[in-house]
Amino acid sequence: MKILIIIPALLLSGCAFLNDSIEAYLMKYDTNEYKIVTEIRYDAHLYKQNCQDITQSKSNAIALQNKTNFFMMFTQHLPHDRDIQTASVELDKMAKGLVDRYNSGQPVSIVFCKIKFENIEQNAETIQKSTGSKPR
Amino acid sequence: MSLHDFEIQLTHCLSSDETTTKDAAQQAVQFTDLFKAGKISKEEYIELMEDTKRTANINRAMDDLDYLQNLNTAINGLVNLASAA
Repeated sequence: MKILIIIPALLLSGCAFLNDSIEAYLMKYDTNEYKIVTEIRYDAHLYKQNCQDITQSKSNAIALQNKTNFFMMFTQHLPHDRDIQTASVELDKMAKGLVDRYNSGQPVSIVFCKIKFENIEQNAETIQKSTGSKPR
Repeated sequence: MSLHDFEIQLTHCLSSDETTTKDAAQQAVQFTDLFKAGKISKEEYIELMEDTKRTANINRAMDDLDYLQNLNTAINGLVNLASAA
């Protein structure tokens, strides 16, 4: 009986929808994924307050990028997790952008430093919200 | 295209119905103002504009995830209905 209702409904909508349906049905909440992205958000929130101290801020930027890189690698091979994988790559690029500025040897403005950490914090929160509402 | 032309284009995006486009345009305007005021360097401005694109990509991916979550609810609803039938 289940099949009589579900299969025609899926077939009517085409292959892309069928793929989405499989992805949607099999995706699951992952405690570790949620924890790592929360840590990224929390760290970025703390680090944006230390932009005046350039040496400290550079260390903070490196520490944060280590975490975004870990997050990217953590999600990379998780099945049915394509959107978080995409987001984790973008988040890592964001964190790398700040580290690259500190490594360039050119002066890094406090305004830029604060905006970068804020961007990472806000985007981590966006991802946290979505990953937290995945089906248990 | 001149800077003025790009700014006009950004103004159009500010009135977009799509939240991702609107948010990206708002950020772009904010960063352009900071650059014009000399508060950030050219390299910093370019990097922040890259962040605007990255944020838009993240928002799109999370919109897709929200869609999948709604789909998940609908599929489970159908399964429950079929089970009860």
